[in-house]
Amino acid sequence: MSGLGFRVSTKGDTGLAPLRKRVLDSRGILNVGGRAGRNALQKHLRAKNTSSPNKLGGQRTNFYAKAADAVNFRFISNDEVVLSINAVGIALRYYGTAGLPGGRLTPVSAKYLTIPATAEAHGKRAGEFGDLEVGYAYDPQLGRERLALVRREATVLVYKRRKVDGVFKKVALPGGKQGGEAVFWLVRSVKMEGDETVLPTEFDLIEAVVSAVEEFLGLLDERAA
Amino acid sequence: MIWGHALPFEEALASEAARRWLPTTLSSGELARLQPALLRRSRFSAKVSEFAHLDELGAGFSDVLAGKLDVATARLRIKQHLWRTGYQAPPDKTGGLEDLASSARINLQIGTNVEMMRGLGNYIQGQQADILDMYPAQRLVRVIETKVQRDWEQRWKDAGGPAGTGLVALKTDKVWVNLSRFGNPYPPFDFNSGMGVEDVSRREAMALGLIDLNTQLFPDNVTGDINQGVQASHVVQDKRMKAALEAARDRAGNAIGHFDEAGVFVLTNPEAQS
Repeated sequence: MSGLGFRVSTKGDTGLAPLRKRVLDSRGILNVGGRAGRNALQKHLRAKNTSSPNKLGGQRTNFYAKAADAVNFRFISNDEVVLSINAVGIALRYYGTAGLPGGRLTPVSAKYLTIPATAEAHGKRAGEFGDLEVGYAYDPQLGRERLALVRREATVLVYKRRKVDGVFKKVALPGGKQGGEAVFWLVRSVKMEGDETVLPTEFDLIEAVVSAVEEFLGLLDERAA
Repeated sequence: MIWGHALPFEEALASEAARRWLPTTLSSGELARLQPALLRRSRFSAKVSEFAHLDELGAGFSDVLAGKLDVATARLRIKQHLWRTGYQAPPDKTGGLEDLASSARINLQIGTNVEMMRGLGNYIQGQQADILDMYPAQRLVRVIETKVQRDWEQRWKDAGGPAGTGLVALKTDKVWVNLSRFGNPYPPFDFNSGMGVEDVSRREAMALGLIDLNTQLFPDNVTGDINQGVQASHVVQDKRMKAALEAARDRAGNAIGHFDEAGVFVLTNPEAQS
């Protein structure tokens, strides 16, 4: 299981503790609080998706919007629920690599990590490309050549109309060489900074939960009056 | 309150686990004409009846849904399976939605299935009585910018959505089912639509004139509906669809269902066969 969880409790020094005293059973307020927390998380992730285009300008994976769909909550006791985001990569984006061994992300089953070098590679695995080979390519950001998966050199075929045996036909002609450009950079490990804006602040999340529960209890009070 | 590990999205995972494969030669257009209740209980892929391929797809859906795998890795696994089988798309279909190994098709398959199970999971959670009391309505919202955007305001009107509410309706309103290409009251409402929903509180719904303080909505027993599992029925008139459903076999070679005397397709209970 990969993702992040956030515990909402009616016990201890939490915003919900005083509200808990107003009801016989905490499940009702935790249902509403859990849903309100889920709604706040979902809204935050959807907004994050809008403000986070991919840096290489390729086709968007809409990572945060999809993570928003994966937000849900679950009771772990009569007094607590856990809000969860079941999305691979969300914890890495939030925490960065600081908590990993050596403070860096390393490959689990391969020798190198692949870092997209082109827009086309964004959101794809190297195995999806059938024409890559290990080589060196110039990285303008580093100002030098570095290890990469580069496009295999190939001759481009250009289709032109030519007269063959007195009849015009479409024929394939060599149109020059292409390839050699980096599609993925290969690295042994990578260090990533965490991004706290991936999630709402704890204060905002608690505020959303508590205000929804207050509103819910207000509805019950109005009906009883 | 602290950040820690995520817990599984049980409602979504249980709904996925309850689904059975519907191996079929039907196209996506024909599949869309089947009863939503039948489709909710089925995993399907247009024009795919090979179990090995369907299994790879199913494993991809489940692993992405469970947060074990990202979409790119799931897609690669499906492609690698197809490459091992020697699959080659017809030259004029390469890279398109009819190419089983194209990124476009696999993304659509994983995206739609995972989104549907998460949509259902969120819908089930939203049907809990206290939540339905606090949030009796929802708003249709754009959550992903798509290249081609359908006119959802027009579609809302055509689906009978209440006017002047800013695309807000009660969760029990028929507009949600009418909006959906799949006949479900939850997202996705269409392939690659980019549309989703967000909860609307009772106070806001009251201000929009959709509900009063005391009216209680009855929760939709969609969980029971899913768990019944095999009692789906559907009247099928189209001869080709009828033949395709009759020809559909499970992995043991048994028919997945049969037509009764009234022309209703009834899914066979797999437990009764084993």
